Amino acid sequence: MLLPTNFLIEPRMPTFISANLPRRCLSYFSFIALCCATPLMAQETGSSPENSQRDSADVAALLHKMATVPKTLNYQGSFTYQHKDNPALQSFRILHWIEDGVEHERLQHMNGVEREFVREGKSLACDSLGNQLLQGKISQFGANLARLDQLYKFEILGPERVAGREATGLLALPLDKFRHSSLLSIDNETGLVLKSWLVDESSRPLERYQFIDLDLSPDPESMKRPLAKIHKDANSQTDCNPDVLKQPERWQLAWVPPGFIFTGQRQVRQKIDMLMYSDGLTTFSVFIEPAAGVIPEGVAHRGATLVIMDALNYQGKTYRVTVIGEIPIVTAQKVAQSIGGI
Amino acid sequence: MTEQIQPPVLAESLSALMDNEASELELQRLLKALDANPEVKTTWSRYQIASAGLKGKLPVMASGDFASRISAAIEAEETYSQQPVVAAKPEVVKESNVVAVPTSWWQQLGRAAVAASVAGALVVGVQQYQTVAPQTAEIAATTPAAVPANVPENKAANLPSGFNAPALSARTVAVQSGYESRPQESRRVMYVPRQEAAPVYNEDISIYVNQLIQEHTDNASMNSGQGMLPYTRVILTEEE
Repeated sequence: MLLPTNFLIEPRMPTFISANLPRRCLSYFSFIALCCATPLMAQETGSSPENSQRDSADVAALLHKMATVPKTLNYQGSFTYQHKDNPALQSFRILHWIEDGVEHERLQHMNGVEREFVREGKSLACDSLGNQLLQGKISQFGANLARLDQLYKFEILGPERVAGREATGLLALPLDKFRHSSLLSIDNETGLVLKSWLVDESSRPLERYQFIDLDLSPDPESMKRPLAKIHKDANSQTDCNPDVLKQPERWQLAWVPPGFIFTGQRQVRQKIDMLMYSDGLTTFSVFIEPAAGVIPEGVAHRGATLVIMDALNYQGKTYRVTVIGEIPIVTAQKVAQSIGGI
Repeated sequence: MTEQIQPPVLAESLSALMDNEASELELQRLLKALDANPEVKTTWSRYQIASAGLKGKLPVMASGDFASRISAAIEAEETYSQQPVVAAKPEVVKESNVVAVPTSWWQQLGRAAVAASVAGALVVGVQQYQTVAPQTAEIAATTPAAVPANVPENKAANLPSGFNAPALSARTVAVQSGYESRPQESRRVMYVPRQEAAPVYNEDISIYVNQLIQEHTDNASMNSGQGMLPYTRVILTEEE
């Protein structure tokens, strides 16, 4: 493939200003947008309140399906994955099966050395808080909680075919600048996300994955093949079907973006307090650890994942703070600055 | 800090104007700047959106432009819609799709990487460097983007000071020069220290961050509706 060598050097930070996008790229996009938008716009002008109501019911149904059906299925599928900081296309296989009401999952690398993540033991009856948000089950948490459709503008993009299967495209545009946009293609039959893009505020893709094939009746025995020599366990601990909102112990965040909810807390590496947050589609985690000496401060990212390292002084002690999430840098910075003790 | 696109004075005036507290002088200066610098306009509209958002008055986010560009990106993606719309499109569009699509995707990536590298001084660093061969892994080697095509990618090279290397371009250069090693993810985390321009590497921090990314991914996996897929973001190697 021929790649451009004449990169435009832009002397300014492009993160928040889409006008900084290279002109040629923009004009190309607007050209395509014009051509493609015409039929869509024709449909939209015909939309009425009933239509938009029906759309939002459709969106809710799609998200509900995505949150509830896949976990009950046995399946095996392959997909490719790519993120913005590495042009290499990676490939993975995912295995999922139910045994005695418990989920078993394996995520295997198909390139390079054999290695995999394994997750076992999550009960089918157990819904995490994030999963409940996705299902729209929020009434029990009080009227003040923002619904997903108050955080994102959802748009159904119509039928698609992905991995040889019928799917529905769904675009989730954030209504604020505190989260990224997603583009999901959701399998009509199973609710599995067959294709996903995460896109930043300048409409640059941060990461994307896409299924190539999906087998819904895999042989359960073959899925239990011995684990790869390099494997790690993925933690599946979570509060099950919580019906009240909790607050973190010891720490509090004076600010989180609208709609983000504290989903749990645990200790990692013995001494680090980890606080978890989700809005149903987007997550971030906060890590706080007592530290001495020089505390590294700075920003790192890989693909969609952003890491902010910061120092916190609280009651005469110093702490090392790390905020990690698939979130824009403004969000991470604001969160890092709003950590305090109770 | 991240939002200081304009000279600080202008940004302050903009902000004052938002709060109805701009002086006549500031107003004049802003109006003047508006003509000279389109970014002032962009910032202004962004402030408005942010403000509307904070007040809960935001009907629909962002500009139509944003949505249309995303639509365009989707359209450009190589899935095949069942909608007859696609087939019915004028031939010229189809052609431009065929030719331009891959280019546009890669160009966008490349530009993002380059832009990010240039912008390192402000916020973001470029972290995902190409790996070096395992036996030479202890050498602090990252490949600057702009190396001439004949420099082998895995040759250890110290990062020139102030130069951020987008991994993407390094890769493309290498591919074009016939470098055939399989691309691999590296666990190496570079970060941009506060008040510095260039990303740096520190082994302890790299290990620390990688471990926390895995812990965070447990959260992402349980609470973002996509099962185990977020674990693709965790780089799994024999090390550690």
